[in-house]
Amino acid sequence: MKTMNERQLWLGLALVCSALLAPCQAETALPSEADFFGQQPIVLSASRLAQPLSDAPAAVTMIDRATIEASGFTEIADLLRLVPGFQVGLGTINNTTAVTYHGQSDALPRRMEVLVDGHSVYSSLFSVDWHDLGVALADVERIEVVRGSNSPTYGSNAFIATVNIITRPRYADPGWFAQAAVGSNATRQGTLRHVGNLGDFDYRLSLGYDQTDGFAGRNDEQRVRTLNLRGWVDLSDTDALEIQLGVRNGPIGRGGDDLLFNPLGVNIGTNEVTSNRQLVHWRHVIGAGRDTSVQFYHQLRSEEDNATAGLLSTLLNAPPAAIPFLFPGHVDEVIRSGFFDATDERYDLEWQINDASEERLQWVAGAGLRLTRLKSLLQLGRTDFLEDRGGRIFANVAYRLEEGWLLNASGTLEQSDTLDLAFSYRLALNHQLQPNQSVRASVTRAVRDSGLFSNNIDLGLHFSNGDPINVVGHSPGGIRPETMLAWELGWLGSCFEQRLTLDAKAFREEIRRETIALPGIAPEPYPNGALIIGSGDGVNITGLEGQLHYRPSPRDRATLQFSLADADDRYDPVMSGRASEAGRTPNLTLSLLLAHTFSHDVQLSMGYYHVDEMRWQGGGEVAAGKPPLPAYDRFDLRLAKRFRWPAHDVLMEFIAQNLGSNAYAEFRADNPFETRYFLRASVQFK
Amino acid sequence: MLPSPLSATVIAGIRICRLTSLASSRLLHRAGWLIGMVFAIAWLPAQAAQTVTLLLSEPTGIYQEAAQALQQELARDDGRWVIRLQTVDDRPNVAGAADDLVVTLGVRALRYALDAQGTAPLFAALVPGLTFEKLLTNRPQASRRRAVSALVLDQPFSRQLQLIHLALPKAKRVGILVGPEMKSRAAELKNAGSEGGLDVRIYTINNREQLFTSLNDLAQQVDVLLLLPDPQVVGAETLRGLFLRTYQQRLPIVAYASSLVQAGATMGLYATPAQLGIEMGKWIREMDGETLVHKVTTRVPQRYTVEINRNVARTLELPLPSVESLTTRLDVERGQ
Repeated sequence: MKTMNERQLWLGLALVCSALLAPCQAETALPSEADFFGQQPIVLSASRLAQPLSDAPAAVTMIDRATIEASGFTEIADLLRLVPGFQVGLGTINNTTAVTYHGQSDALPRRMEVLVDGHSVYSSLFSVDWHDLGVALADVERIEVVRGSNSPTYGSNAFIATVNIITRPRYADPGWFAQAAVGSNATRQGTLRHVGNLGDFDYRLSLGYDQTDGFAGRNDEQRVRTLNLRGWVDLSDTDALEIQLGVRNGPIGRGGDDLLFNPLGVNIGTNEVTSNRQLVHWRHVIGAGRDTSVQFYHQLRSEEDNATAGLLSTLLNAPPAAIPFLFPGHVDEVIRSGFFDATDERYDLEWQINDASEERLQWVAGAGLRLTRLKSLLQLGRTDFLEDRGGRIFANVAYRLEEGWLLNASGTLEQSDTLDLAFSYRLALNHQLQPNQSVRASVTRAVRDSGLFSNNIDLGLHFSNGDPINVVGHSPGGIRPETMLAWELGWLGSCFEQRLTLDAKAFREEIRRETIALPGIAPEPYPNGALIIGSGDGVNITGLEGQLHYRPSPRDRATLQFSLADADDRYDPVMSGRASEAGRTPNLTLSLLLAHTFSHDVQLSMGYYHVDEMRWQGGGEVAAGKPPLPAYDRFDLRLAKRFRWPAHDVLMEFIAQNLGSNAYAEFRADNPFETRYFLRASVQFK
Repeated sequence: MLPSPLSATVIAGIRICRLTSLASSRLLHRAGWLIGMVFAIAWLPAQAAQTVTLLLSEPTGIYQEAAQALQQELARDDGRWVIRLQTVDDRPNVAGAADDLVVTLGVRALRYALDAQGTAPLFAALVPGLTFEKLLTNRPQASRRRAVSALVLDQPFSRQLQLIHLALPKAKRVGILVGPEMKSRAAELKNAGSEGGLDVRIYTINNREQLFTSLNDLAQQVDVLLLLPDPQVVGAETLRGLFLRTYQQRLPIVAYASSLVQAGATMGLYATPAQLGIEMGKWIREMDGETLVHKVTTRVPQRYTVEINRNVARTLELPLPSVESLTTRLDVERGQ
């Protein structure tokens, strides 16, 4: 039955493609108001160059403000359901949100780069905390997602994809803005923002509050407060400075019963999480079409997990006097078992020069230095900071060979304490078939640094000085980098005065030497059966994916995203004991968003989301014997009314998620997603 | 002559007055006048309430911005105007006799209203002048049926050339690239140039290759390039090449849209949607009570915005005056 459905879908897509390949009707030669007020669509994330989508060297999905509003999502991570090939899993093993592309990660999107206005929010421990991006949903202007490896542009972290969240521009929404949302699971969200200036200093200042009880019966509540400031000042006609400051803190519930999450069965509590970030960005215009910039940022995330396992003697059921004999050099002590007790810090300095002064040649180049620091007694057995120093140089060139042909070449050379000199590159050739149709062929080789955490993990109970007692996960270090070779053939076209656009790509991704955790024979004092970090084989993924945008009228919008993928895991299930690794890439991922605006500014939108059966990657959470997550279908609905009261712009929204179907699981079977309702009100004061 | 309800009220007051005279009561005499005045005033608001159908191409963005400004302007005549807000997708009836006025915002709305039957006077805004002319030429019956007026998006050539004169006093030769559609404006452009003491040179282009060939040695022939809203010249495919070639020749560009200034033009002269909305509102208020004969009227914006891209100006080493000073001098020289 499923095969039949897939066949029908392939056939349908082929028909759509062939219909669109036919020449479209010519646009009118007369000017319209769009010539006076329209903007050119450009993307920044694929190559660091400002390019029209048709010139970009990779498949890019743009989620604009109108789509964000129509979706009715209340979380930024949810929006990625509207990207072909992306899977989102709420309620992971760590009570966080998981996001992945083609099923290539576990609870942590460790292979995906996430940027906010061009700077990374990636951390070396939990990779990306989707609730700590330093940006409120109401501040997001658009999200650019590069589908496919973008390591040649942004380095190791962009191994499978890049998400660039771009916030509202400097002068947008002047004055006060307030937003409040209430809903299921004790959800209470609030945002208060002021956009203004102090002399020459323009700023956007926002305060946020996010509360939810999470899934029923699970200790995963959060009460988080955020404060973010973004400011700009023009130093001269050619120099501009931007600063960003952000702080966040509040309690987050941590509780669970799985192996990696709660190794000793005692770690159930609520932890205080604090984070802060500072960024300064200086941009200097050298000349026409040429500028240079320097950016420095620091981010720190700290979680206090004070859980204890009690006295060691009690744990071992031995007299305290026996401890010095069992563990020479140690006496009995209270053992800390806080799985999340960690501090993670990153400093990053980057210089970039951008030259678009030649018509045929556009290029960007730069270099960066990074220092990553990590401290955790339970995860690493360290009471001091582990450090990883790295550097990178990168360049992207777009060269117009002749009329209608564009060659994009990108490369990044990286080295760090955990990575020998490695080179990621991409070559892409774009050809403009007609003014509204282009094709693209590309080959990418990406290298991913296994990173500080994977090379130093020493998960288990330790004495207060870091000496191990009982370790359940260990890395011998020297983990080799993962590599990927990817081919892509893309097509981008529009029709009916750009009311209909299709972006499709056929792809093959060959991932090698995946970093994995396998139960193995560990060196003393690690017990046999502990998970040992190492390099596995990999996976080949072949498929077709794309997105169709249709705007039959200004009041209607429809977007369809699809991804058909066939993954060929190369693990030998008998040898590796990892039968569960097969099938982590869903065969079909589909999403559809329809929106119609009625008179009196009333908008009704409907979202449909489907993900085929899949398993999320990782040893602990998908231990052998656990069934894969069944396929699910989810329907969302949003009803919104915009009005002026008395002179202020007001938006009232009613949102229903997972309507009319049974509860389903996105990440773990015991976190069922039931129907949720939200009411949200926003006021832009005039 | 007073409108009939008002006349009746005043006459009623006078009759009461006459009655009081007969009664020789000064008090009643005064009261009669007073009652007559009160009745007359009470009748006044009932005189107006004219319906304006505001037809938007889309319910958002620039159309909404212009519509709000227009509504605020009309609200100054308290209760005089009843606004009926519609968008093209509503497929509204704009032909009915109940429509005292139809105002369209955007080309799509104008096209819809022109194709609809009806005699209500039509005012169009957010529409380029060339497009307005072409739409009417293709629908000769539309302007025979009803008065059609437009507040076009285009700034008058004289003002654009005046801006060049004020901002770049050394520039004497102004280059203008025109496609086949815009070619009809060549004589008008040249006249405006000679009136402003500038040498306007028109370059006609028919395709993209010709456009870039024209740009090759343009700096040797002109001192500044004036861009007009001509899709043959300015479009997604041509813009980048156009800016780069003019940069390389250190040739400043004066544009007609803010997005072009941000993209790389040296300066721009344009009206914002809000400015156009206010101006349309003022026009309607001015026309209130006047009989519109069936004819075509075109107006250019009286309100405008000057914008300068300082990064580009600095790169081209052009010491431009401030926006405020340029606007003031333009206002003065235009006699405002």
